[in-house]
Amino acid sequence: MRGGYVDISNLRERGVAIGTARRLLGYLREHRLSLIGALLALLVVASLNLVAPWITKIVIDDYLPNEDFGPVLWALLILLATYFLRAATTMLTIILVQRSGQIVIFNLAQDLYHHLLRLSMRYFERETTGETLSRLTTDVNAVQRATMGPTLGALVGLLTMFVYAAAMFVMDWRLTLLILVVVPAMVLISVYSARELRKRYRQVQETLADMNTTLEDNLKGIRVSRAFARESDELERFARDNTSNLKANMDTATVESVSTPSIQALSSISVGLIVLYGGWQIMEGTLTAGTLISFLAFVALFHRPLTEIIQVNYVMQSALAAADRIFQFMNEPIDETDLPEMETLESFKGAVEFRAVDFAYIPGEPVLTDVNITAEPGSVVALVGPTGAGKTTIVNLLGRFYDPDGGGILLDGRDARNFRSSGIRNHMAFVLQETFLFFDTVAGNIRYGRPDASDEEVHRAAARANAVEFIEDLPEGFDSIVGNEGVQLSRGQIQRISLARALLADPVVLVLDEATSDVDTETEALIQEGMDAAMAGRTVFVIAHRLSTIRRADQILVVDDGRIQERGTHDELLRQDGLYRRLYESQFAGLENSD
Amino acid sequence: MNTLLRLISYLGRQKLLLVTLLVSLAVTVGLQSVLPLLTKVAIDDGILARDRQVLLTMAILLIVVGAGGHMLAAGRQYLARWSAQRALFDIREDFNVHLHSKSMSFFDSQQTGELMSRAVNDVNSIQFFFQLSGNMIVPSIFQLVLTLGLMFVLNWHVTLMIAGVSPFVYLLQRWAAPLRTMFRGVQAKMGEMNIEIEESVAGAKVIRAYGRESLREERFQKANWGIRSLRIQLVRRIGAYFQGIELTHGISTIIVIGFGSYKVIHGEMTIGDLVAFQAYLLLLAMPLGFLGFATAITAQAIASGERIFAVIDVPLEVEEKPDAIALNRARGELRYENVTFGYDGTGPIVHDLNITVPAGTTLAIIGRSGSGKSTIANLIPRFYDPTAGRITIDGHDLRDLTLDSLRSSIGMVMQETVLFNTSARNNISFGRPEATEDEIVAAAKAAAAHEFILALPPGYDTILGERGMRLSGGQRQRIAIARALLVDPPLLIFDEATSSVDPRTNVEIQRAIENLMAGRTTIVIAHRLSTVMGADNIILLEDGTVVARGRHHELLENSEAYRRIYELQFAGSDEVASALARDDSA
Repeated sequence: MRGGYVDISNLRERGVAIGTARRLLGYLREHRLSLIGALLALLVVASLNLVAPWITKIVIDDYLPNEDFGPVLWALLILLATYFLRAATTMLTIILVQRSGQIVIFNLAQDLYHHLLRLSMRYFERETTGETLSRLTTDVNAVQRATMGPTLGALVGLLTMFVYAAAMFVMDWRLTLLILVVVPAMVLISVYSARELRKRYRQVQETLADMNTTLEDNLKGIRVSRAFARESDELERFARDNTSNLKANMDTATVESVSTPSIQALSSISVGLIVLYGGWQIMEGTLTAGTLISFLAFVALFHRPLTEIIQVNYVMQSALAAADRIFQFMNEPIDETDLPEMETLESFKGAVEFRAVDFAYIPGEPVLTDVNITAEPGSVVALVGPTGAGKTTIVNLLGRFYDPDGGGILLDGRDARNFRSSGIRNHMAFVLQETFLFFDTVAGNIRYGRPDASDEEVHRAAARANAVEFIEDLPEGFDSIVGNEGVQLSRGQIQRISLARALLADPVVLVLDEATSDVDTETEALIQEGMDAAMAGRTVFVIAHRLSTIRRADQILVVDDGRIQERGTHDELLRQDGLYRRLYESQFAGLENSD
Repeated sequence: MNTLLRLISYLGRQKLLLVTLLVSLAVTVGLQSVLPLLTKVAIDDGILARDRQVLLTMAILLIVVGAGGHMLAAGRQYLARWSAQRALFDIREDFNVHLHSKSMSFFDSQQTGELMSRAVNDVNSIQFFFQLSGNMIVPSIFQLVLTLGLMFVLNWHVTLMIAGVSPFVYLLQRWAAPLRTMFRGVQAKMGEMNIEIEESVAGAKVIRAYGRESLREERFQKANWGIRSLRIQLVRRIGAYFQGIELTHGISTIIVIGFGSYKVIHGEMTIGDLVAFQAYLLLLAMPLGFLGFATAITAQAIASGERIFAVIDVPLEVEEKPDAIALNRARGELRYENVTFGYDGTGPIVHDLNITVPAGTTLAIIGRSGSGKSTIANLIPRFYDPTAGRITIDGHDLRDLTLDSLRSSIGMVMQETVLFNTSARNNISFGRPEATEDEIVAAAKAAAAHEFILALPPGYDTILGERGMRLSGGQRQRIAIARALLVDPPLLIFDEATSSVDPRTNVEIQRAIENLMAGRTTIVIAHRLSTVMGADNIILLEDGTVVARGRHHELLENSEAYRRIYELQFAGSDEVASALARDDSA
C-alpha cells in the first residue's frame, strides 16, 4: 500500500459520480434535520457578521460628528451581544455538523468492515491486501478529512459571500462593483491553481511512496545488502528517491507560493481602488465616510474564502474520489455460500462425498474436473500430487468456501448447498500451510477454535499440539500477545498454535496440510506428533507429505491436473504400478541404501 | 530543549538561505504592517482634509505596497518552503545513512515496522514543523511584535486597553494545551483500527474458517466508536478555541470603537486612527489563533525528533579499523581460534571454538536447533564480532580487513531468502551489478533457475519481492543460489534449512547446490544426507561446542552422538514421502 496516496484519477469521469453522490446522501439522510439547522445557523452567523461594519458606519457617520458618545455605548452593547451570539451560534453549528459528520464516518467504516467480512472468498483470491487496506483506511480517512473544520469553513465562506454581496449592493452598488471586479481573475487563479496542484500533489505522493518502498526494501534486505557489500548502492538509491521527492515538493511550492499571494494582491488593488473612488465620492458629497469604512471591512471578509478554496479543493476532490472507490468496494459480491435462508447443519457424522465436481476460480481456467471422492466417517483421506494440482482446492470446496461449478458435494448424504457454510465449518477445522495468528494473546488465538473454552481446555489442546513448552517459555506465557505486532514466533511455533486451535475445536472433519516449511527436523517431528494426535477419531483430509501418513491412510488420492488419477491404499497403489509407484520408487530407492 | 535546538540546526544548515529568508520575512511583514498607516493618511489627510492629491498618492501607494508586498510574500513563501524541504531532505539522509551503518544486532532487536514508522510518521511531524516554522511561526512572531509596536505608537492609551484582553488570550492557550495529547490519542486509536483491518484481510480465511466474524465486528466497533468520540471531543475543543479567539478579537474591536470614539470626540484621535486600529486588530488575529497550535506542533516535532535521533545516535558495534587492509583474491582458508560469542544480553552461544577449514574444502555443520550453527556462520562476514578469540581468513584476522573486501569474498545463501522489489535479473546480479546478461543467464542456469524464470511471462524482467511475483520456497532459494554463483566468491556460507520446503529434492536443485559448492571453501549448515556424506569434514555442535568431528563414515563408527543425530535427522527419512508430492514448478 502506498503511504497515504489517494488516486484522484478518472473514476469521476467514468460517471460513477452520480451513484456516489446518491449513496453519500443516503448516509446523510438521517442527519438532515441537523444539517438544515446548521445551514440556518450559518445564515444567522453570516448576517451577524454584517453588524460590525454597519455599526462602524453608524458610529462614524452619525454619532461622531454629533460628538454624541451616549449612543456609541448602546451600539457597542449591541455589538457585544452580537459577538456572543455569533460565537454561540457558530459553536452550535460546529457541534451539529461534526456530530453528524463523525457518525457518517463511523457508519461508513462499520459498513465497510461488515462487508469485508462477508465478501466472497473469490475477492481475496483476486485482490491484494494492499488494495483492500487502502479502501478501508486511506480512503475512509480521505472522506473524514473533508468533514473537518477548514473544509467546512471554506464552504461556509463561499456561501456567505453571497450574503455579503447582497448587503453591500444595497449599501452602494458602485463600490460593490469595485470589490467584484477582481473576482473573476481570482476565480481563474483559484481554479487553475487547484488543477495544477492536483497533478503536483500526486507526484509528491508517488515519490514519497517510492522512497518508503525503497527504505522498507532496504531494511528487510539489510542482511543481504551487507553480505554482498552493496550498502552504498542502497544508500544511493534512497538518495535519488529523496531528491525526487524534494523536487516534487518544490514543484507544488511553486504553485502554492504564487496562488494565494496573487489573490491577495488583487484584493489590495481592489482596496486601493475603493479608497480612491470612495474618497472622491465622499469629497463630492455622494458618499458618507462611514459607508466607505465599512466597505473596507467587507473587502477583507469577501475575498478571503477565495484563497481558502484552493487548499480545500484538494481535500474535497480526494474525498469524492475516495468515496467512489469505497462504494465500488461495497458493490463487490458477498459470499453466496452463507445466506440466512439456508439451513444450519446441526449434526454431522463426517461422511463426505464429492460427485463429479468441476471447479474453476476464474471462469475458463478449470482447476478441478470430474472429481469423485467418497469418505466414510472417521477415515483418513490422503491427497498427494504436484503443487497446483488441485489438492488445496478440494479442501476449499469441502469447507464450502466456494461452491462447485458442476456436480455437488454431499455431507452425510445431503447436498452442502442446502446449508449455511458457517454452520458447515462449525464441524470442521483447518490447519493449512499459510497459518495466521492474530494480534491477541496466545490463549485468545487458540480460542478461535472454541471461544467459550476454559483455560484448562486451552492448555490441554496446546499440550497435545506439543506447544505448551515454548508457550510457557514466553514472557507472559499464554497471555503473551502474538501476531505481527506482538511476540515474534517461528514458523514451527505458529503452526503448533494453529494445530492447538484446531484441536480445541474438536471437529468432526479435520483438514491438514502437512507441508512443514522452513522448520528444522526436530520441530518437524514435534509438529508431526501433534498432527498424529489430532487425526485420531475423525474424518481427516490430509495433504500428505509423510510416509507414515500415507501408509496409514484409508485411501490415497493421487491428484494431478485437476483430476484424481489414481486411488487406493498404499499397497494397492504400488501394485497398480502406475504414477504413484513411479514417484514412490524414484525417490525411495535412491535413499534406501544410505547406509 | 536539546532536541529542539538540534532540529532547528537542520534549518540553519543553509546559512545564506536562512538570512535571505529572515530578511524577506521582515520586509514582507513590514510592508503588510504599513498598509493601515497608508489608509489612515488617506482618510485623515486626504479625504477628510479634502486633498485630492494626497488621496491619489495614498491610493496608488496602497495598490503598489499592497500588491507588491504580496508578490514579495510569494517569494518569501517559496524560500521558506525550500528551507523546510532542504532540512527535511537532510534529516532523511542522515537517518538513512546512520540506519544502514548500524550493526546487525541493532536490526535483530528492531522490527522493520517500528523503524518504518519512525521513517514515515516521525519524519512527517518534523516536516510539518519545518514547514510551519518559516511560514507561520516566525512571521507570527514578527507580526505580533511589529503590530503591537505600531499600535502603541499610534495611540498608547488604546493599545494598553486592548492589552487588557491578554488574560483571555492566556486562558485560551491553556484551553488549547490538551490538544496535543488528544491528537496523539486519535493517532493511537487509528493505529489499533489499522491492525484490526489488516488482520481481517490477511487472516480472512481463518476468520471464515472458524466463523468468528461477529467477534471481529465487535472488536472493530469498539475501536471505531473510540475514534469517533475522540474526534468529536477534538473538534469541539478546536472549535471553541477559535471562537474564543474570534470573541477576543470582537472585544478588542469594541474597545477600539469605544475608546477610539471617545478620543475622536475629544480630538485626541482621528477617524483614520480608528480605521488603522481595526486593520491592525485583523492582522493580529492570525498569529494569535495560531499560537495555540504552535506549541502542540512543536511538542510533536520534539517527540518525533527524539525518536529519530535515538536511531542516529546508536553506537556502532562492528566497525572497520582505520588501517584495514583489503582482502584480494582469497584462497579461502578459514580458521576459528578459541572463538567465543554470545548475542547481546544472553550468555555465550559458542564457547572456545577451534575449527580449521582448508581452502576449497567443504565443512558441514550439524546439530540441534539452538546449538550455534547459524551463529558460527554469522561471524564470518562480521555481522558480529567474537567476544573472545579470533577468526582468520588466509591468516588475516577478520577485524584487520576492510568490510567491503571481506564481504565481497563471501557468498551467502541463507535460511530465509530475501528478494528485492526489482527484476529477477537485478536480483541475481545484486552482488555484482556490472555483470553481463550472459553471465547472469549462466548463473541462473547453473542454479537451475533459468527455466522457471523463462516460464514466467516477463521472464528475467519479472518483478520479484513482496510486491512482485510470489515464488515458491525452492524457486527463491535457486535465485539466491544464482545470486551467489554470479559473485563467484572464494568462500561460501550455505544454510540448507529451506531445502525441506521443496518436497522433492530433485536432481536439478541437487546439481545447482553442487555447482555452488564446487571449488570453494564452503561452510554448509547441513540438512541433507547427501551433503553430509559428501563433505570433507563434519562437525557436530552441541550447546556451542564441537562434540565430534571427522568424515561421515568415521563418525558413524566412532561417535555415539553422531549416530543419534543421524537417526533423528536422516534415516527412515520422510523426505521420501515428500518426494511423492513432486515439485512441478520448473
